[in-house]
Amino acid sequence: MRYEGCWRKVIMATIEQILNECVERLRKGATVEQCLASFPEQASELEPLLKAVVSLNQFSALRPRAEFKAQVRTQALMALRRKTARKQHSWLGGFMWRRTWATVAVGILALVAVGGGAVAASANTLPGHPLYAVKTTVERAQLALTASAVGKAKLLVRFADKRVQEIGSVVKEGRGDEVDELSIAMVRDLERLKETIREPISPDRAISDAGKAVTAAATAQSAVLQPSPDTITPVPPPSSGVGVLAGPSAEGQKAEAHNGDEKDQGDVSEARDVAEVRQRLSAEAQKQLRYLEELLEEADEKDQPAIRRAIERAASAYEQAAKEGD
Amino acid sequence: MPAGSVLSGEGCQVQDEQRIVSRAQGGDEAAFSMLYEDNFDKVYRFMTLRMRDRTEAEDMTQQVFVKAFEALPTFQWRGAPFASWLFRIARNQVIDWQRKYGKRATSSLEEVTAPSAENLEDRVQDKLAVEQVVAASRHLTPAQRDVLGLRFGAEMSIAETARIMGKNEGAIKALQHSAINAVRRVLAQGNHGDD
Repeated sequence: MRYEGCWRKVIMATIEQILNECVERLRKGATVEQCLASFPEQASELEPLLKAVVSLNQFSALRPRAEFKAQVRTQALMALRRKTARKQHSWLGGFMWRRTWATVAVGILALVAVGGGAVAASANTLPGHPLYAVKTTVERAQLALTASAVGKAKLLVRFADKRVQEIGSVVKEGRGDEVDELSIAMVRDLERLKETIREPISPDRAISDAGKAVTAAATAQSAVLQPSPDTITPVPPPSSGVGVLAGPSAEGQKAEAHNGDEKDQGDVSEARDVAEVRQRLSAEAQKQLRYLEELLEEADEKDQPAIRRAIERAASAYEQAAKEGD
Repeated sequence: MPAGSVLSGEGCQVQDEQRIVSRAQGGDEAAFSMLYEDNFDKVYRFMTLRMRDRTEAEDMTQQVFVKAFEALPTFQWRGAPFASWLFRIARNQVIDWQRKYGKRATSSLEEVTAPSAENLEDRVQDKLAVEQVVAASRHLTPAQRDVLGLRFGAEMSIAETARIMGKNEGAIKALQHSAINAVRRVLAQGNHGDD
């Protein structure tokens, strides 16, 4: 009896190993028949197991929804950046913010001195053009150099609009295969808009982003960063956050340092700014969706699925961004 | 590993991966993208097999990636691939969910499936196969589902699966055998429903 038990264990171990061997071979493209031919003594026991393995292998065909994947990507990247910025801040302390701002100031002067030719030339480019990277780098730089959360929110609405217009342009140029990438970029801008509204922007993070942006822009030979009205506001040393809804605005912080009346004025101004962003978002959502609907009607049949996906993404992303502002 | 995977393979690519992780820890977006693209679909498939519901699988996948990349700056390289660390987070996430909510009814299998094939006929076949596998996984133990999720969802090797589950390779092969046998029985009976 004892020996029988031992034999059973040995046989089971063999079957488990053989099965695993076959799992690996099937994964590499072998057929069930080829595996069975390699293990004729175990063929009768193996065959039904390998048929189940074939079903299991088809599981690798499962893919997540593209919008979901893009959405999580933005969230994960934001999570990483938040932590990286925090870590850098804890290492560098209060001294470095001054030094970084000095770098930013020198960088801006250098960029202005170089001239705005590349930037101007890149303004109307589309994906695939050599200067398109300059265009997106300048956008990132504008965003990083914009200190107030409201200013960032307005810029992101504008960038999302640009992506929608670019979708129209690539379709008209017969390059419908670019539509998905552009619509995902648009969703990313609106996701960042949500984050901007939701999360306070720490001053040291704004400085760090500005430094990186200037370096990137200089590398791309893209001079003259066209600042938004909110751009390059001197940022105070690290203290509390600056958010559209979650914390006091830069203006609100100044007011707090003076007296209660001025603080009230700051709050009113902030509320007005938020209302303005919401209003603009709502107007742009309608306008851009109408534009995409019209584009869908005119587009070739082959481009229509991608445009439909872009419409779904845009509708959902604008709606989510508007909800965040409520 | 899928074709074109940046981090596929062994040996010197471990060093590449270490470098990529280090760059991502410094906030490099390109390095972040490599880690993200290489692992996202695998974690999603693992979660689909474990949760058996698309909404839950998406929710858990999202939590895993946000949590993992929040923790990345403090991640210390100890020789194991990045995916091992990521899937340990994923597995712990599932265990926490089970502790919190226990067994909960899941929604329709229609919700689970989104196969990638271009051709309609292939897509229907893929969809059926995915539905069958997910339905059959209801009859497995959590450990068996972990093994199938890691081996067939995440396409991990036996060694990687053993590392993530904290077991030896022999135990993983035994679990794999019993799990495949259970799936075979369920598929043969055509019994894909709930217990």
